[in-house]
Amino acid sequence: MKFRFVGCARVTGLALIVVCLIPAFGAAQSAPAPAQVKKVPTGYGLDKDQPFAGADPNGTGLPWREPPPEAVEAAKKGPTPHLADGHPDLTGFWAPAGWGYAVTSGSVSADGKTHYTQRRQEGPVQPPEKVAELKHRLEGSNLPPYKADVIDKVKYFGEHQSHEDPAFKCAPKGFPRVGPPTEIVQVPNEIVFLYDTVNSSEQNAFRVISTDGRDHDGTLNPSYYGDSIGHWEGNTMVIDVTNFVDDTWLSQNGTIHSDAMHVVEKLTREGYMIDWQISIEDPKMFTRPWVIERHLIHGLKGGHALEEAPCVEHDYGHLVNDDRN
Amino acid sequence: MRRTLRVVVAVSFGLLLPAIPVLAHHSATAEFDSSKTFTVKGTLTKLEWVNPHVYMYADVADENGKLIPYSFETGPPGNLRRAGVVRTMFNVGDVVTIEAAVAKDGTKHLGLLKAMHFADGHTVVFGSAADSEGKN
Repeated sequence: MKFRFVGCARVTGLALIVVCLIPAFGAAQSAPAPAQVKKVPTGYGLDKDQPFAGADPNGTGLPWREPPPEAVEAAKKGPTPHLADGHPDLTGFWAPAGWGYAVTSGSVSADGKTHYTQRRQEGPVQPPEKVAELKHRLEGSNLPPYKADVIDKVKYFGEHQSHEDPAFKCAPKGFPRVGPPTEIVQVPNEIVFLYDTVNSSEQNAFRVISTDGRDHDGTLNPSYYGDSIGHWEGNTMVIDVTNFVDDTWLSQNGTIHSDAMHVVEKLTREGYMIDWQISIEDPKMFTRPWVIERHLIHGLKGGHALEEAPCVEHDYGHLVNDDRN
Repeated sequence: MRRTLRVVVAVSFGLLLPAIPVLAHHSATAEFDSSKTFTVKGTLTKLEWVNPHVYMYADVADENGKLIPYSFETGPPGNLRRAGVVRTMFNVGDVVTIEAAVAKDGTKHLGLLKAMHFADGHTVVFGSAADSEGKN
């Protein structure tokens, strides 16, 4: 597989390696100009281009956004590229579901002298609408189906997230909390998922999904992102993910899981849209699988490497209450 | 150059509406009281562009000329970048006037950034234009 890195010998870092991979394997997408002559936009440009507001349409309590139905339908009408092996090519930058809830938009004053970073203010205490939103987040129609003896613990963790959430202290969110992939690189025998982490406690986050026919390796150590084995069922990539540690949450709402968690992830590409679905099973904590679906739309034609985002926690010792976002 | 400490604790009576960033981590209200602000003039000493919150540090001279290290928090790097505010807009050594909200736990010399005014007259407001209307 050395041919992947031709011309990139001096490049280090996963994100930059991906930049090198894209020209070689992204031919089924639009053909980008050589990186060295391309003007790379600041930021991803998706805030203004795709200002989707559809957070949590099906009451999961998750921050993953859902595009409006008309955007999904329009994206479906695009061509579905395939690789030489005949399978759909999932390669590309996909938005916006993985972006979380804190997408912002800045502005500059008319005289150009003042930059504004954010879009709203918070007063000295959380406003009633924020309190109501947090409450609503825990009352959705598709929350994790916990067994009765786990619910109180989840409720406590959710209400004390600022102090209990491992991710608040820069621990990895892990899969599936990290959400849908932000960028996918598909090559024969494996698919790489890269995650946008610049807006979260996550640091460099990626998964390598083996698609060469191998089975799970039971000797692997449990991990935050699990062991991912993928295969095609028609046009759908089906990924079986196991072997998780039990100290991550499934969302910001105190949603713990056990080491018996097993996730089946499905991606079906139709035009410029991917139907992304996960089914989370946890026989120790759930009464049934928790199924979540989002639609991802192909974006960022300009191309941009995902950034590394180091995480250093400074605030924990200064929190005076459990207010959270 | 001797810098004079200028700390103004401005208790808001609705006149100074705070422009507080959305924090992706804890809520701002868990750590800072945006109804109480202070303003200092100092020199940036360190820029820490990290999750979950960017921190910027400044030395501020007290009334005796002694330099006091201050810490200032704002949103995550991704938020700032998407809003067009990037690390290269700030430099160690810049002399700036900083408006910030006080820490609720009483920690001195720690604040949530509201605005940073630069010597050449430009400003970065860590909030929206609407929030700051009539203020800047």
